[in-house]
Amino acid sequence: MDALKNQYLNSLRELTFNSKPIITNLTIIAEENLSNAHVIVQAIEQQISNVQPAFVIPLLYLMDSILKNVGKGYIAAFQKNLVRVFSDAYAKVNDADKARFQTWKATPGGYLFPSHVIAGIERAINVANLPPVGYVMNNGQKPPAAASVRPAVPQPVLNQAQVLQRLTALLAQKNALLLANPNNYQLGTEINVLTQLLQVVQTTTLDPNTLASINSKIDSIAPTVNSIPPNILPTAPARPAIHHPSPAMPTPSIPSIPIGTTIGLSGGVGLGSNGVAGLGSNGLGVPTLGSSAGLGSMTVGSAPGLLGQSIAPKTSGLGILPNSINPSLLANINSSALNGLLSTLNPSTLLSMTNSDQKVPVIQLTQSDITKPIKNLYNVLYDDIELQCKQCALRFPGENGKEELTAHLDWHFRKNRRKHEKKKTSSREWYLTEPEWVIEQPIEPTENQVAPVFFDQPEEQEVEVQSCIPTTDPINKCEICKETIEKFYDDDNDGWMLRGAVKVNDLFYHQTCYNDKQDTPSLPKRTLDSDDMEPSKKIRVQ
Amino acid sequence: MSVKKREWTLKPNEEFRFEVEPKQTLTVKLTEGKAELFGTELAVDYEYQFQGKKLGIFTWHGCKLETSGPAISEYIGSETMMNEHLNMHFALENLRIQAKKENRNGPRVMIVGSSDTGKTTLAKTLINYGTRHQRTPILCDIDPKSGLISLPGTISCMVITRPIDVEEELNANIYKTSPIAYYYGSNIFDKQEFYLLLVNNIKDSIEKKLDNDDKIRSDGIIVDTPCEFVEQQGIEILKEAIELLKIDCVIVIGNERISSILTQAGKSVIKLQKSGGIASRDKIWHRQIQAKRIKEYFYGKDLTPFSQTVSFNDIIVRQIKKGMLAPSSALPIGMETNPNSINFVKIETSEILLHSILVVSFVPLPGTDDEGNIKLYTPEEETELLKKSNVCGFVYISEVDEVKRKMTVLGPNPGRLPKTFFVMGELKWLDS
Ligand SMILES: Nc1ncnc2c1ncn2[C@@H]1O[C@H](COP(=O)(O)OP(=O)(O)OP(=O)(O)O)[C@@H](O)[C@H]1O
Ligand SMILES: [Mg+2]
Ligand SMILES: [Zn+2]
Ligand SMILES: [Zn+2]
Repeated sequence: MDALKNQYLNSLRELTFNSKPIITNLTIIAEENLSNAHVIVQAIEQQISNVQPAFVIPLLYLMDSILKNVGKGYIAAFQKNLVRVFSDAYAKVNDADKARFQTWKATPGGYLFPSHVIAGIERAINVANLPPVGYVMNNGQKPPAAASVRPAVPQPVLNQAQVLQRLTALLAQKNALLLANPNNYQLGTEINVLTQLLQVVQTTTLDPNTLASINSKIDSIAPTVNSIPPNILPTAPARPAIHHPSPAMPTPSIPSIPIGTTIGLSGGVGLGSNGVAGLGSNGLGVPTLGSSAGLGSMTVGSAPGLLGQSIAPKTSGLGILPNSINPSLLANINSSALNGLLSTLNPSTLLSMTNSDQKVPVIQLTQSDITKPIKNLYNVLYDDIELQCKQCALRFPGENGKEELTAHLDWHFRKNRRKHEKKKTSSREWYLTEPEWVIEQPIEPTENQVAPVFFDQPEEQEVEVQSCIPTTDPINKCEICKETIEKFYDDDNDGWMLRGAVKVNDLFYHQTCYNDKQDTPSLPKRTLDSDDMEPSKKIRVQ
Repeated sequence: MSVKKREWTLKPNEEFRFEVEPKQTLTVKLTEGKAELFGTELAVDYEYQFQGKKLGIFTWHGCKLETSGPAISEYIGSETMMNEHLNMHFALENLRIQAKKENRNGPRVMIVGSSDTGKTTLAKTLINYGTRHQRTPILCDIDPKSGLISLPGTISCMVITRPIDVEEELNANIYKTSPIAYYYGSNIFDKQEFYLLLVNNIKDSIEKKLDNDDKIRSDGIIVDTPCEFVEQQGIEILKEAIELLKIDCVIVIGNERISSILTQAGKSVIKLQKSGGIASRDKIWHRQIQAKRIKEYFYGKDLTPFSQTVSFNDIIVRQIKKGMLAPSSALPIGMETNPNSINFVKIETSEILLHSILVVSFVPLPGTDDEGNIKLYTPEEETELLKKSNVCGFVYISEVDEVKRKMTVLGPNPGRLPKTFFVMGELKWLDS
C-alpha cells in the first residue's frame, strides 16, 4: 500500500503544469489501481496540501480527470475529504487560480456528488470571500458591476424531443460519413454509441440531468458545432464556431470557445439541467460567450494562463478539465473509452449500454460486411487491452481487469507451486447433473478439483489415498475384510504395488472396503492426516 | 531423436502451419511479435508442446517463431480466412450488445460444411475471440465424432469463459465451467431419431441455463456440426437441428449447394471459403486422436485418475440397441417392433467389457432409495431415463477376472464409483 502511494506520489511530482499526457498517464494508473482508490486519493490529497500554490490547479485537473474517466470507487474516495481539500486548496492559491474555482462550481457536480457536498464546497469558497456566484473574476480583475452582468435568466434547456432530434440528425450525418469511410471503425463506434443513446431517448422518459448528460455526450461526438441543427436552438445565442486546436491535445470534435473570460455561472443543485448563459468580457473587450443553454450543458470559458488553449463544453463531474471528454484522451485510457463516455449518464437508464466497454465497429452478420477488410481491426483484441498475463498471454479487459489479473496471477502461482512440489493433486471431476449444470457459476478450477459428487471426501485425502500403492512387505492385508490385497509388479516404478488399495495412517485397505466404511456414519469421516492442503473451497450446487 | 531448431519469420497476416505425429512432440516458441492459434493468443517465450496436431499459428502483427522436434510438415502460408473470421466475430459482438440491451437471446450460429473444411477451427476461433471480449458464449458440439468438449461419442456443450488452451484445448483442467454431455455413439445416420432426441436434450439444457443467466443468454451460441450434415441423407437432419437449436444464421464453408438449399429453405446463410491451411485427416489419424482424447480425460496434465477393483455385482451395464426391445418385454402377438426404436439393453458383466470405455449415467440403480422404498424400473422406464440422462463421466475397464468375478475400473478421480447405470458405447482403448 505504502509502496503504491509513494510510487504515485513520485509521479505526482511531475505534475507541475497542466500537462495532458501526464494527467492521462496518472489517470490510467489510477484506473489500474481502482481497487486501491483510497490510496491513490490519499496521495493526491497529500500532494495538494504539500505542493506550492502554483501546482495546485494541475492536481485538481487530475482529480477531475480521474473522476470523469474512471469514476466508480474514486467518487466515494474523493468525496470523503472533498470539502476540506477544496477549501484548503482554495485558501492556498493566488487570485487568478481562485477564479478557476468558481468555474468549477459551474458544473453539474450533482452528478457525481450529493448536493450537500457541493453546498459545502460552495460555502467554503464563499466564506473565503469571493464574488457571489454568477460571475467570476478573471485574471485578478475586479468583477464587473452587478449591473453589467446579465442576470441569470433561465435559458431554454433541451427537452427530450429536442435531444432526440439532435441525435437523429447526428446519427444520419455519421452514417453518411461512414458510407464515405467504410473502414473507419472509430466512426462505427460512435454510431454504435449514438444508436444506443437514441434507443434510450426513444424509449425512456429521462430526467433533465440525464438529458443534459446525453447532450454533452452528443457534443463529444458531434464533429463541429455546425452540425447541430440550428432550429433546435431557438433562443440560445449562436455559439461561436471558432476553433483553437491545441497541439498537445487536439480536440477536433469538440466545439470550442474563444480564449477568454469565464462566465456562465449559476449556483445550486441541478445546474447541469439548467445551463445558464452569462456574459463577460476579456481584457481586450471582446465579448465572449459561454453559453451552454442551447446544449443543455454548461460551458465554461478558460483563463488563458491556465489552460493556454480553448476549452470545450462541460459534461459532468467536477468539470475542471474541460477536455476530459475529448475522445482522444479517452482513447488513451483505452478500454474505459466507451465506459467513460457512458458513465457520465444516469446508470440506471443506461445500464444496458455499458455491457461492452470495448470499441466495437459496426459490422453486420451479412455476406458483404463479413468480407470487407477493416484496417487494424484486430487491435481491439490486442493493443487495446493492455493488461496481460505474460505467462499465458491472457488479456484482461474491462473495469475489473486489474483485479482479475491479480487473481489470475495468484492462480498461476498456486498451480506452479503445486507442480513444483510434485503434488499431483487434481483429478478430473465427474460432470454435473443437469440441474447443477444449469445453475453452475464459473469458478477457478484450482478450487474446483476433486469434489466427487457421490463421495463427500475432504480434499486432503487424495494425497494419501492412492489406487496403487508401492509395497515392500510380502503380504498386506485389508484392515477391514482381512483379506490379502492383490499385488502386481509395476514396470514403470520398478516395484511391487498393491492394487485398488488405500493407505490411511499407515494401514492398508481395499479401496472398496474403505469406501464402504466411509459411508457408515459411525466412523469418523476425517480419519486422515491432512497435510498443508487447504480444504476444498468448492461450493457445490445443491 | 534430435532435430535441430528452426526459425520462422512471419510477415503480418501470414500463418505458420505444421503437422506433428500423435506419438511425437513438436515444440513451438513465439520469440518475437504477437501470434494466435485459432484465436488464442500465444505467450512470448513459452515452449508450447504439440502432439498429434495439425495447426496454423497466425499473426496479425508479424512475428518470429522457433520450432524444435520432429514434424511431418512445416511451412508458412498466406491464404487465410482470418479477416472474415474476425469480422464475423465483430458481427456477433454487435448482436450481443443488441441482445443485452433488449434482454433477449444472443446470436446463435451453426457452422456447416463437409469434412476437413475448418468447421471446428472456426467454432474455436469465434469462441476465443468472444472470450477475449469478456463474453461467455456457449460452444455446442453436435458432432459425435469430434470429442471437442467431452469424449468422442457425445454431443455436448460448455459455457466458455476464457480462450481455449493452446496445448490441451478443452481437455485442459483450467476452465471455470463444466461441460454437459449426452452420449450418442458414432454414426449420426445409425440412429437418426435418437440423435435428434439428444440434440433436443441439449437444447433443453441450454434453454434452462439461459433462462437462469442473462449474461450467457445474450452472449450467444456457436454450434459445430458433423460433416454428415451436408450429405444427401443429412440435409433433413441439418434442417431439423437448425430448427431445434433456433439458429439465427448458418455459416456454410465451401459448399454452394448446401448454402443454396438452406437459403431456399428460408435460412439466413453466410458463405465462407475454406482456409488455405486446412489439413486433411484420415481414419487412422482420427483413431489415434480419439485415443489421445481418452488418455487426456484420465491422465491430462496434472491429472491423476484412480483405479479400483469392484465386484461384478456392483456394476450394471447397458448397451444401446436399435429396433429391439429389452429381453424381458414380451410383445403381444402380431405387434411389430419399430426398427428405429432405441433401447438400452442389459449386457452381462463379463470379459466383453475389457478395454471398454463405459459411460457413467446419472440414472440411479434400482434399489432402496433414501426413504427406504424399493425402487425398480421396467425396461421401458429404464430406457426412457437413460435416453434423457446426461453423462456423469467415463470409466475404463482395465481388467476383468471372470473367475473371481471382479474387475478393475479406472475412474477419473478417487471418489467412489457412482451407483448409477453404466453404458457400454463404441469406445475401446488400450491404456498403454
Ligand atoms: N489455418 C490452418 N492451418 C493449419 N491447419 C489448420 C488450419 N485450419 C484448420 N487446420 C487443421 O485442419 C484440420 C481440419 O480442420 P477442422 O477440424 O476445423 O475441420 P472440420 O471441418 O471441423 O473437420 P471435420 O468434418 O472432421 O469435423 C484440423 O486438424 C485443424 O487443426
Ligand atoms: Mg469438426
Ligand atoms: Zn496467465
Ligand atoms: Zn478389504
